[in-house]
Amino acid sequence: MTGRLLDLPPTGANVVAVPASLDVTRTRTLEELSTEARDIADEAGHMRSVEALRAEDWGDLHHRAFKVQLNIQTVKNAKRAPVELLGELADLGFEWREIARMLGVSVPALRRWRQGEPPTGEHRRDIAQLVAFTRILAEDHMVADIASWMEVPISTDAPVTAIDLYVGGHALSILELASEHAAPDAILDRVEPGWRERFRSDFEVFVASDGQTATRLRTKGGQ
Amino acid sequence: MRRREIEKYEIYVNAPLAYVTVEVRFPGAPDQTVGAAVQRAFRDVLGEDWVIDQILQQQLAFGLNAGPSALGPSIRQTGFPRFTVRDRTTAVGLTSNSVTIETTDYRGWLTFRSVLELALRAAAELLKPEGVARVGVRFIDEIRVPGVEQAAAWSGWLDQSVLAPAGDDMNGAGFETSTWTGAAQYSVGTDKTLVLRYGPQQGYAVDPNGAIKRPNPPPPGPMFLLDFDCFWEPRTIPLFSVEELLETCDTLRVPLHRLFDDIVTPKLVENVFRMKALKP
Repeated sequence: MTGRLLDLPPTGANVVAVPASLDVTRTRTLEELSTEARDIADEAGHMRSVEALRAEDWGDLHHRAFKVQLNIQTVKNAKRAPVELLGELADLGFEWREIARMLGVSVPALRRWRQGEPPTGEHRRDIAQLVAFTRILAEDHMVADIASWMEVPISTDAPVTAIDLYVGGHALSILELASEHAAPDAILDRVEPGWRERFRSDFEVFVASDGQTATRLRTKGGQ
Repeated sequence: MRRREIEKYEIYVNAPLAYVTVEVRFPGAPDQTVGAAVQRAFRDVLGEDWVIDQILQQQLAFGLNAGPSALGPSIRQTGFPRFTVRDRTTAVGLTSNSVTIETTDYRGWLTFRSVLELALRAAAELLKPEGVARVGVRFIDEIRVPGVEQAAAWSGWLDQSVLAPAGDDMNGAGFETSTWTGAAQYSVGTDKTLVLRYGPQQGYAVDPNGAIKRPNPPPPGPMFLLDFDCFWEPRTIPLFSVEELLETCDTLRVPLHRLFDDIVTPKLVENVFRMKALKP
């Protein structure tokens, strides 16, 4: 940014150390930092850098980042009236029973809050957090039509939805899913160990002798 | 440091200050940009006035592709994330091992310090740095004096120590000083160093069309650059404490201001820095 030294070559052989520059590190401007960061990425190899970033993307740092973000948004939302927040969730398309399930309360309790009865502080925070969560999904992870997205099973091999994950306290996994940082099966392996056995269908698809696909009851041997 | 001590330096109505930055480095891997999730969280911690922005850089890339364009270079554009207020005069940068705060709209140390504190607290909360490797405070002044067009004309406006050696004598002998540049390093405390880079220049040291915008930039022309960089590089790895970092920055400003005050002459202060009419 600054401090251009005189850009003139010395006369004759450069046998004398010219005391033109000081051997100290400089406090970097953002432009200088940007250039250095780019050079480091180039040195390391662009693809390797991308891979490394992907690998660490959902490490501790990013989990912490999400928690901080969720916390800030929750605190902001908590200032708003619970009725208004519940209305926002309903406007997103969530059914009341699903909202109640994600908040860990009964539908009648939810009805009372909608009619003006104040929830406890803890429940008020839960409502604010659910709204914050949906907003992060929509604004930062570009999930359109959040309610229906969260109601769809995340894998064709198991009836587990993002709502189920939220109810089970796996909000981070939903974000991994939304940002395509983890495959649905990998998430299920983590949050529902043994899910393949539990949700395995008693039926299987096979190609019949007439060349058409059909379903049949699995045999006990595994096929 | 008490409030009165923090703000004891005069803020001139026509101040030459073009840019201020503080950079805090942590020990760790080389700088890498942080992922999108961290960026969003950092933005939220900074508050609603801040937005995620990019410093875009174009870079020539030489590929090994087959076909007609095999030998031709291509231009790759890379982006570096930063956080900025909406008029882009104050920005914060965060990497895996540093946090940088910069402004071209300096309204006094207390104001700048509040942004610094916000950014440091956000970095502490998100990155949980294991310690401090370096703290630097940098002030860049572009001194412009109406009528001073030639490098030799700075005599009388600035202390003799930053002028060309024997400049007046040489000029008197008919040998005009074209330009010069210099750097000086001072030890200003345990592991603390002050570096001054200086010299007459043309145009801008801080580009008004760069990533960070300058409010009311002066017209380009001859100016005298004073680039102060005061930093602390501890031999140990102290804990990352926001309070102690702020106090360190307060301390680093002291020798920097002292040197500035010694370089500018009373004539410059009275006739330029305190003259409101000169401000564009």
